[in-house]
Amino acid sequence: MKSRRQFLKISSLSAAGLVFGGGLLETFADNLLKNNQSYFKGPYDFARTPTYCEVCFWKCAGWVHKDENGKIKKIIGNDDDPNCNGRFCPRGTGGVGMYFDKDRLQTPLIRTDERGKQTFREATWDEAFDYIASKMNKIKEEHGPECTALFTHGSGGKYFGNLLKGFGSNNIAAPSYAQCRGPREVAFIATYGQGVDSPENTDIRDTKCLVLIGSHIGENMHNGQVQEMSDAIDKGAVIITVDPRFSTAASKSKHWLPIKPSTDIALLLSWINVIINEELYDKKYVEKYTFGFDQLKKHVQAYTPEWAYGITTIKPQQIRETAHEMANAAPAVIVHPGRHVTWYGDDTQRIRAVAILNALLGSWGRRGGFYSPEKASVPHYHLPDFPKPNKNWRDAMGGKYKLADLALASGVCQATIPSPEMSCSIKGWIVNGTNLINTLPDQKKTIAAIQALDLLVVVDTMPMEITGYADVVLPECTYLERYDSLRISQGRIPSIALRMPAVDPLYNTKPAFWMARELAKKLDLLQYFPFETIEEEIDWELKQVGSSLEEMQRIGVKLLDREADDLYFGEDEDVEFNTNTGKIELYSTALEEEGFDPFPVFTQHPEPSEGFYRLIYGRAPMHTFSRTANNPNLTDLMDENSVWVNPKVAKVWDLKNDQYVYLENQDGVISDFKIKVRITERIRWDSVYMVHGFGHADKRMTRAFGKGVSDTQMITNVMIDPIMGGTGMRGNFVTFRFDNKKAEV
Amino acid sequence: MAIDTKKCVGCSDCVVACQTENDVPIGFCRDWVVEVMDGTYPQLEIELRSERCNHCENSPCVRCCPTGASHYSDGGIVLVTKNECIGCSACITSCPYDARYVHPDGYVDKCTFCLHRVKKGMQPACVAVCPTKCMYFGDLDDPGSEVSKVLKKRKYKTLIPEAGTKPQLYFLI
Repeated sequence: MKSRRQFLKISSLSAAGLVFGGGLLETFADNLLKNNQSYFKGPYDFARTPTYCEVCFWKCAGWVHKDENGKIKKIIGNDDDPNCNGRFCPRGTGGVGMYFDKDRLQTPLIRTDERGKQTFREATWDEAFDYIASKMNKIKEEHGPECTALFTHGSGGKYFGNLLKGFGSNNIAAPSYAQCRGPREVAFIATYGQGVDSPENTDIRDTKCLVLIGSHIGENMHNGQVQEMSDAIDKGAVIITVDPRFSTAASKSKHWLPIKPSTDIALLLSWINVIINEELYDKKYVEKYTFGFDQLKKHVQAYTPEWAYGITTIKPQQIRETAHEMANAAPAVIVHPGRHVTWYGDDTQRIRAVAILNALLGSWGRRGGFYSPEKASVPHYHLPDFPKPNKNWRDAMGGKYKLADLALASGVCQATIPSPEMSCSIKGWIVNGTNLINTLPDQKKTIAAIQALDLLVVVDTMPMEITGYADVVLPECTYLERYDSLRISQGRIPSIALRMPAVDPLYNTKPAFWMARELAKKLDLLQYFPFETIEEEIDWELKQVGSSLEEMQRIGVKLLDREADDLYFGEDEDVEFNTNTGKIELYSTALEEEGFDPFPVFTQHPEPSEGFYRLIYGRAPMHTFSRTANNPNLTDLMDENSVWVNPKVAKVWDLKNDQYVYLENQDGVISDFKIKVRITERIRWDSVYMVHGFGHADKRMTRAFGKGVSDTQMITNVMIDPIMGGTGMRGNFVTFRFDNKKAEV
Repeated sequence: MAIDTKKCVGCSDCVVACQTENDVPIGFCRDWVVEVMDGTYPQLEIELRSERCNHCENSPCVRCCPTGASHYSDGGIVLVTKNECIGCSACITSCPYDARYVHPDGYVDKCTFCLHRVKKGMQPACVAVCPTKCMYFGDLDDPGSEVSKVLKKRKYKTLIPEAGTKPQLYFLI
């Protein structure tokens, strides 16, 4: 957070003669007043170009404004966009920094030394593509085309995806699934036959009671949700926050339940117990729409608030009181499913408990609960059939994780490490816009997989750690310099948004569409790229829904008509759910079929040993993952993370505020860098907290290098969710060190 | 201007929006966020507020300015005329809110309430961007303005009222 104190420090430096911003606009209000002459073309006079934001997955649509010299000046939200309502978040507003960052990748690179050493030579695009194509063809010959994979977390993913599918592989994974929201989707699909997807179909703006379990809206800047939470506060909604840390959301809450970490399922089961036994549930709804209520009632009898108290440290009285708050607000109540939910390996079951609780309160399909979202249906141009792969990453999983509805990034990684049991050992990776080193837990494993590869291609705008391991680095231009496929969002109203370049690409950078198509030429796969330019493809798609590229360039966002009339279930409406029973499954037949508990069960998780503290990580509103850590505008707001330590713990270790320490985890991994201590009452004494995405080890990121500690480095114990393969990352414990020397063995 | 501390999440969007709107160089700011925490675990309270120049009715910065660069403008907005400012920093010393900084180009800079936008009927950049809509801007002399209405309805405070500067930023509590 930008504080005045920080500013004072900097401003005293300015006396030494720092000079900033040569070509910037110089005069404002003074001149307006004095000369009555506008030096400043008001925003509506600017040539403005539409975009949707690439700083996070919310993809808010906005306008890029330039100054009179044609230089990018600012990005403002598009008023018509339901994802942002004309208001960008700090990251979106600071997105200009991605363009101006001088540390950007500038030209294609080919590795000259061993992987990880970050030694490259500059190459032409043609050379780079030739290199990639020859390696890919070699993999195809020796191992089969299935032994290639794509990891993607960015808009260009679609085109590299088509390339890979055309090549003959369907190993396409995003770390946003198994490392983030996967368990949530599986749990909601198991219960309601439908996931919550993105943006979530939570009707926060009209809710009377919002329950957040470890979800820190406001620190995670999921724009629409933050806006709606604020609306809900205005309307007097009750917020209940369950978090071992006094989060920003907790500070806005009527009830904060400072739970002992890893015990959330116990609390959820006791809430279900109270709601059933005190007959607070929506009887009509439960009878009409749900399956398995009687078994559920039996299942939760033992899970009284008194039982939960011993486990969670939340007082029985408080459990009952909050259960009543929810029931009083029902059906306008949301027990929020969260987003980053891969915590302890029983995450699908935890989110199942959340889904069940919502069903008992009758909030699914009701105003102030969960609405029925709609996604714009935009036809894609029909491509020739892709070849059918003979195998994929799932073959390496021994039949596990069948309920995973998307590929597991960690699974593909696993399938890359050669082992005698596996039939599919992946040999080539294309990594688009995701820094796997800091995204996948257990860095050692990720690096082992990388070292076993025959080819690693990284497509990015920044020299992230992963580029240091690449054989070929393809520098992508930023989202402000390119077209991308249309944003097709779900929401109350289906919408589409256009991204077009505001300026020409800097340096020798190119958009993903172009790269994928050029590679397709070399691989003889051009039939999967029927359009020569992305503009033609977008225009074709837009014309199918009664718009055009020309129209979208003017309006940026278009709202389409809903097909279904209502956002909510009608009174006594018959609803068929996409589950085995056609009902909301309190009792999950799908889980039972796969040999898992049909109801959530509480399991005790390991606790920190003496001198160790559970590592909890989260988000800061001005950063996205590790992606923004070098953004000049956003590092100005926050340039390192700190480790939050309870004063009692600080006393034991004689820690002082702002002191720098190293961290060591339960497996003896010592952090590469030091982290600043923040002594605060906001964290429990059995845990420490830090913001994810710092501690970058790549020197080419001059602002981010060595700033803070990477939580990912400390996450070596991964608790795998047996249901869908999610990687639980909250079972790691750290202690403080004052040096980083390895202990003598 | 009124700022609702019950809604502000401290995201600093107001800071970046101001920087890009007003070409405030990176490393400097015209507005900033303050977090005040009280209590012991688990009895805690946090107040978050977006702060900036208070556009005081009785501004020490205007009074002490040797060149008249600091002055009151339309509607009581306190401004600095850049080319009359000699960068002596007397105003910075006199401001109890620490709202001003020396621009690298040698003059003193501060919040203008985005007068260039307001004149076109727009909201200041910070108000327009805020995802929580926690800021209200308007004419305090007009009882029908949004800011007057919200001040009538809600409890509020000003910062350091004892300095006697009659600050015009109101924090809803």
